[in-house]
Amino acid sequence: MTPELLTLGMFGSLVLLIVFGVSLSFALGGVAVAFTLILSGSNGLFPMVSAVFGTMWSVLLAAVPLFIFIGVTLSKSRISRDLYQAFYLWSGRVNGGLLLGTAGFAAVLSAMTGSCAASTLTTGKIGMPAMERLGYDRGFALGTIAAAGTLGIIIPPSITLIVIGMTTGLSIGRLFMGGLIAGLLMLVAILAYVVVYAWQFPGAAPAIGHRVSVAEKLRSLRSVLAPVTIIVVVLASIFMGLATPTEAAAVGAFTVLLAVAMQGEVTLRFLREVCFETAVTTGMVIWIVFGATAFVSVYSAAGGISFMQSFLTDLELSPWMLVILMQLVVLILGMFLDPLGIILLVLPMYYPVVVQLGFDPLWFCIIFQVNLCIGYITPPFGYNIFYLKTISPEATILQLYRSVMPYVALLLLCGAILMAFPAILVEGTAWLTAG
Amino acid sequence: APATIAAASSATTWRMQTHFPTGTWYYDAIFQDFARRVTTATNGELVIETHAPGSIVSTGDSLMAAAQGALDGAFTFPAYWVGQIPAAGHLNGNLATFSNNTEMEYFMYEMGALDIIREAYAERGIHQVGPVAGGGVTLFGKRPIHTAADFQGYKIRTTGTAARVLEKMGAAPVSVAGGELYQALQTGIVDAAHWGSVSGGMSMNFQEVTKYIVQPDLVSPTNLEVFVNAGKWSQLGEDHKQVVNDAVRATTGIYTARIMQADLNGIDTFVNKSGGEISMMEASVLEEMRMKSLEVVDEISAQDPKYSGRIGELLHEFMRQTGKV
Amino acid sequence: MVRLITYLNSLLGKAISFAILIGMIIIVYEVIMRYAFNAPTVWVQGYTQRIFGAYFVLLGAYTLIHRGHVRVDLLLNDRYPRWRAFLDVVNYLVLLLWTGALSYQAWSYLEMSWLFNERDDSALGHPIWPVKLALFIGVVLIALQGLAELVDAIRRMVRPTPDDSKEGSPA
Ligand code: NA
Ligand code: NA
Repeated sequence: MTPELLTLGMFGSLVLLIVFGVSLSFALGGVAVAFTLILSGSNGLFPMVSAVFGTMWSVLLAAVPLFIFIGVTLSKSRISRDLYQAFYLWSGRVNGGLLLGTAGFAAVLSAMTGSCAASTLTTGKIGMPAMERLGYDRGFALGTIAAAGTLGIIIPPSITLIVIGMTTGLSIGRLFMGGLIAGLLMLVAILAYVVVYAWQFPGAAPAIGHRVSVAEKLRSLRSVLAPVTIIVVVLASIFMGLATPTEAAAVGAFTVLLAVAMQGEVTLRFLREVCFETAVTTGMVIWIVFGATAFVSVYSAAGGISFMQSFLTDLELSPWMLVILMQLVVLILGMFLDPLGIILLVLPMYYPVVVQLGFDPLWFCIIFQVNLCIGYITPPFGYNIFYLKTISPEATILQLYRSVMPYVALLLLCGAILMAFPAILVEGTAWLTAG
Repeated sequence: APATIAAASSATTWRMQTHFPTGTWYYDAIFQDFARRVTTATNGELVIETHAPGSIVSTGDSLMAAAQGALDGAFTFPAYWVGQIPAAGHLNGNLATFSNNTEMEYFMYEMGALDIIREAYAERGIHQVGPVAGGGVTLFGKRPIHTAADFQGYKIRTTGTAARVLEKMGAAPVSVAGGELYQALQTGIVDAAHWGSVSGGMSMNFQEVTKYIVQPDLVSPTNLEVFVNAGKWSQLGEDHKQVVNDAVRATTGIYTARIMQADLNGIDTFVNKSGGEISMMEASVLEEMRMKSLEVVDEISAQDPKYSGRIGELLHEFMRQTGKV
Repeated sequence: MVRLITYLNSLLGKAISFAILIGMIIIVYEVIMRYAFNAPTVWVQGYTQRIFGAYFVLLGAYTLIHRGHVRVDLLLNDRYPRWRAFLDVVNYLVLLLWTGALSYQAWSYLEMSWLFNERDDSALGHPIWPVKLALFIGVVLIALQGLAELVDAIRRMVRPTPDDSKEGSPA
């Protein structure tokens, strides 16, 4: 089979299956099996099983369920509600204030959890009712939550950055630093947009009507301070690198559990529910990794990866054009595919080319990650859109698509800035690492 | 030519995978060079297809994959198989034994250790072609090591039998994934680590996070290996077998010479540019390490008398002859 | 039969979901031993790999029961139950191709690990076949669950009933 035919066949049938509603993980695995049988018969199945085992045996991936566990625990505990209450009380009597607080809340939550599910769902569940009471424009509020929720996988910890580290061999600690820089830039952009929009359309984001006394504000901090300090201090110190990512995840999960226990919330029932929910999410994530590694191993063994690499270099574009083209492809894939699937499918082709061109690999990977964040809110397949649909069922999917559009543009701008000024990421991570 | 008479033009193709990361100088200069060498010398009748780590099977599965036929062979690291083929540890080399290539090749080819190692691999359906010397094992650390006492409580990132020897020396062995090693050194998860020889460690930027290169190397050389599916090997004619054997032995010389260049340059950089120091271990440290290393060898001999036991005896003899014990 | 498979997989999934707590505790133990006592363990890394490896693969069927394997719902229209059921049939057929092939090969993979007496390459040196046994069991269980779901989807396609308006809800 020629590499052209192989590429067309494997990716073509993958897209077809996904469009017909086949689960991404099964579609990846099914195509891998089908092409193995076509190319080399049942004797060729060994590499696929080896790929699955390689995933199981990865110490780094053990961090993934632990970070999911943290997110589930926080979303089920009173800590997240108390934290939101504090943001609510402190957000002030200005137009758009509560939405700014909500975005800030999402960012703080992102610094504790590793996926977008926790940041988006929790923010939406707690924040939407409060903002609807105030008469916020629903589309504006939902769009902002969807965008702020994407910070979940770029502000460390992040399961996608872990998988990027695993695929490229880059240090996950340094990737986390880069993610932090990019995530903060995205947060600032989102906040700025909210301020400008609320100023232009005060009716879309009315201020809180009543005065909140200083005493009440201070009281709100008391209930939040203890658990949040513990969580932030522990996580921050381990992200400064006192432990490996997996150890950081375990210590973080343990600390969060302790913090929740200190509030008297940890019952057997609570623990059971957290474990069950973590299990379902982990199963989804890891089985996508199983499918994607099998898919890639078949494609690679049949010469697909090296074909794509020489295809990219033979385009004879200028290095910058090539890098921009690669990122555009990620943006398009992000409309249809899961972020982990994208990482595992394209990064093995991209990475050696990027290194060979002499670009900073960390810089490339963080922009890649920003693109994956955008994928969470681009139609037709965007996790954050689906999450918000479950929270706000009365909003139509088209309304949701429309509400995220300004943010897609905004995040694209962030990506472009990071790309145009490599020093932000390169010098920034160097500075953080030295500090 | 193939052993069985076939059409004259028929070429044999072997799919070989390595654990060398793509983009490193040795991926091309050693692994692909070896493949080209064989293909050229057989006039294109035996083509070795080179594959990057993990591109067909995960590195840890390449032995099984070669036995089963998913790969035809591998250019890789024998220490991966010490669990399933204890004799592979001897192929990799024991700490504080060999001082140079000649000693290693004397032990393997002239004393006959390789024959025993081949028997052990043959049991798994694999033909062990032979060792490829890959430079020494150099320890990079935050503290110097002069006496044996300096090992006490030293957290060293290490693996396999080396971990057992260093533990006997009083160190605390730690496992850390390669990608996290730099950060682990930087933040004190570990105090010391080895990643091949000097140039290997420098490729991981150890010079930025350690102060000392500990000399002499813990062993020199440490070996890589070339193995092939047993069936595929037996299908080769004697002429092609000779080519592959000679290419493996030639690669030892080429690899160590190129590593020596990289290592000497590396030491220059470490001392003159990165402000590091060389820490010399006293002769008594190596003597003690030799004893501990042989203790581990004897423990493995007891577990695997059939192969490791016989190789262990040869090793004792080698150590006596060379005056190391 | 369909119910029995679902029931057993659900039970096993719930049991295995607690493994994360064990994994978490041993890693925390390792961190404490290293920092407080300067005595890192030899076994934690290997057992982290074992526990989480088994956890990952054994969760497949449980996630399937809870409809956790995400699908793009562009064409998954609930207004046409037969069409919906047909797409479910396709989904489970692809799942069966994937996990059927895995089950077939995972057996010989397990067998080889056993025969080769495969062990960690670290100083730990414990047998690896138990994880590969978990791999075999995990893929067989999700294949069985896929088969059960396939049977149900075919029934819905042939003879839809009013309460089949969406894909069978979690058991
Ligand atoms: Na995060
Ligand atoms: Na999308």
